[in-house]
Amino acid sequence: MTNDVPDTSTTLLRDLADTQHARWAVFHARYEPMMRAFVRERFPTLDADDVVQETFAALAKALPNYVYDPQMKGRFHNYLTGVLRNKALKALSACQRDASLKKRAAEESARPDASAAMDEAEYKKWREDVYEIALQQFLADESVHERTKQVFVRLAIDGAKPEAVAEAFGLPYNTVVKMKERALRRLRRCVEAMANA
Amino acid sequence: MTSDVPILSGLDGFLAKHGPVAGPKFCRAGSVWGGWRVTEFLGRGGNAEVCRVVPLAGDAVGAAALKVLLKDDAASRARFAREIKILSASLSPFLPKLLDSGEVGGRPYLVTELLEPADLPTSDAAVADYLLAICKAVSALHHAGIVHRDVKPSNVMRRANGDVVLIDLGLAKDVEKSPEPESDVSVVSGSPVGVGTPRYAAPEQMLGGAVTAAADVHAIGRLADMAFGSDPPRCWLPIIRRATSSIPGRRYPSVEALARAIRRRNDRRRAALVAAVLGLTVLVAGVSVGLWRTAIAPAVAWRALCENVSTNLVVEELVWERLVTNKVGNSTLVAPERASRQVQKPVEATFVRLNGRTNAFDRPIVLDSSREYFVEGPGILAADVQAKDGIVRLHLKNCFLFNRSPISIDKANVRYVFEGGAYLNFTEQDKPPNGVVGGCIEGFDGASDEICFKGPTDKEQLERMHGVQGLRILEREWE
Repeated sequence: MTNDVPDTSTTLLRDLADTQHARWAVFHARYEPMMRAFVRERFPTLDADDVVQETFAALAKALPNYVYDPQMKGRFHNYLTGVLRNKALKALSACQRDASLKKRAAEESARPDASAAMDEAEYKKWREDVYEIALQQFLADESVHERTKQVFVRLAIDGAKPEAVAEAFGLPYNTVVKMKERALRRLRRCVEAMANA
Repeated sequence: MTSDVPILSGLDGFLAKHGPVAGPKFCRAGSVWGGWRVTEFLGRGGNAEVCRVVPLAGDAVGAAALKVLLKDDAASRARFAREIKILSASLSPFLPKLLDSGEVGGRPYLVTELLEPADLPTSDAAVADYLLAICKAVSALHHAGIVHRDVKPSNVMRRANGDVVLIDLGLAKDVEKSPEPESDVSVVSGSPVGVGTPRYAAPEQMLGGAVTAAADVHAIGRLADMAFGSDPPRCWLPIIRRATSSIPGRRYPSVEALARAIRRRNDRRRAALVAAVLGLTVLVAGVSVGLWRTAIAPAVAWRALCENVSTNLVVEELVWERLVTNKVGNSTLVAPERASRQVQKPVEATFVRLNGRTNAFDRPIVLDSSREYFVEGPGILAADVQAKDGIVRLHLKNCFLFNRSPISIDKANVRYVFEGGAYLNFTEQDKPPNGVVGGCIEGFDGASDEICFKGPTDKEQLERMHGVQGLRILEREWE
C-alpha cells in the first residue's frame, strides 16, 4: 500500500483533538480577557482560570460549529457572562460543601448582587440573546441548505402559510412542513445546548 | 424537545415577533447599480447578494442577475475580481454569460444572464445529462488552468431552455499562476483550513493542501452520490466510488475520463451481464475486477444515532466482498497464492464519510458485531466506541478517532484497522504495553508519548508488520 494518502497535517489533527480550548484558539483570544476579568471582579475568591476553562469546555460542546459574527458581539457577550455566572455559582456551591473554604464562600455570598444569579428580567434578556445567537448560527451554518433556511424563515419568522411557501418554492406541501420542523428541531437543540452549557 | 423545557418556552414567540432576517443589505428593490435597476432580491450567499435586475436603458437584454460583494476584505475582493476575469473569458456555454461588471460606492458587482435553480435530478438518464454538462463546464475551466473548487448543487443552475450552467466562480483558482495552497483561518480553531464546501470538497482541499483538477472530479462524484442517495443504480457505484476516492491519485485522472465513464456506464453493465451469463471472470491487468458495491437497507442503530446528534455524517450501506480471510474471519492481507483459495463471502458493512469537522457524540457508539465498519475522513470522531456482542473491525482512513470511553471489555472488542492517514487517540489508561488497547490495534507503528497511534504508511511497513514478503495488494478496480 503506497502512501499516496494526502499529507495529513498532524499538527492540525492533534490540535483539533487535543483539548477543547485548543480548537477554540481564536474564540479564546477574543473573549478570554473579558471572561477572566469578569470572574476576578465578581468572584474574587474563585480561581478565575478554572472557571474560564470550564466555561470554554462547556461552550465548545454547546456550539461546536460556532461562527463568529461581529454583529452579535454584544449579545454573545451577554450570553457568555450568563454562562460564566452559572459556572462561578456552581463553583461557589462546591466551596460551600468544602468546610475549609466555607468561610470564604460565605464572605463571597454576602457581597452585593454582583455574584447573585440572574433575576427574572436579566434571565429573559439572556434567554432572548440565546435565541438570537442560535438563530444566527443556524442561518450561518453552511451545512444547512439555503433553501431550507429560506423556507424556515418564511414560515417561522415571516408567518407565511405553508401552502404559499410550497408554491413559491415549487415544493410539495409536506416537504415544506417537514423542512420547517427539522430546522426548528435543530434550533431547539442548539438553544438547549447553549442554555445547559 | 418541546416548550415544556423552560429555556424553549419563549422560542416560538421570539421567532414570531422577530424582524426580517433575509432582507437585502445592498440589493434593495429600486436601487441602481451602473446601468441596472434592482427589481427583486433573490438571495444571499456567504460572500454576496444576488438580485434580479433590468437594464435602465430598456436594452434588448431583458432581466439579468446582479451579484454584489458583501465582504470588504482583500481576499474577498481578489476572489470577486478573479471570478469576473474568468467569466469575461467566455470559456464555455456551460458557464454563465457575463453581461457587465463595475463598482458603485466602492462595492464591486457583476451582472450575468438570469438563471433558475436546478434541482438535483434523481433518475439515471437525468443525472447523467446533468453531470455531463457540469463536466463540460469544468473541463473548459481545467483547460484554462482553473480549478472551480466549489462544485455543489446550489452552484448549478439552468437556463430557461433547460441547459445546465455551473455558476459561482468565487473560489475558482488559477493553479498555474498561483499553485500554492490557499486556506482560510478557522474562526473556531484558528488553524488553517481549506476553502470549499465540506460535504462536496475533496479531503486535500478541506485540509488546506494543494488543490488540483482532481478536487473537482471529487465534487462531481459527490453530486452523483447525493443525487441517488442510498439507492444508486448499480452501474453508478464504481463511478461514484472512484470519483470520490479520498486519494486524488485514485480518482479519474481528468474530468473528461469521468465523463467517458458516465457515458459508458451502461456498456459496463451489459458487459458484466454477458460475462456473468457466460460464467467468465473478468480480469483487467491481472487484478480482479472491482466487486460491486450494492446499497442495502441502512443499519437502524447507526443511522438512528446519527439522526439524534447534530452532525452531518453521511452514512452509506455497502456490501463488500471480502477477498481475504484468515481462520477467525478477520480480513488481512495475504500472499497471492493463498488468496486464490479463499472463499469470497459477502460481508455487510457500514461506511461513514466524515464531514471534515469534529463530531462529538454524547452517547456511546455501539457497533454491531455482525458488520464491518469503515470510517473515512477528513474529520474527527470523538466518541465512546464499543462493541458488545463480539469482535468488530473498525477501519479508519484519513481521519482521527478520539475514543473517550473508559477501559472495558466492550471497548476491547473493537479492533482498529488503519488504512492510511488515520490517527487513534485513547485515554492515558490504555497506553501500551500494559493497557488493554495493545490488543485492539491491527497494524500500527507504535505509540508516541502522546498516545497517538498511526497506521502503516507503505507496503513495506505493512509487510514487516504481518511478517510476509511480496505482498500483493488486491486493488478494487472500479472500471
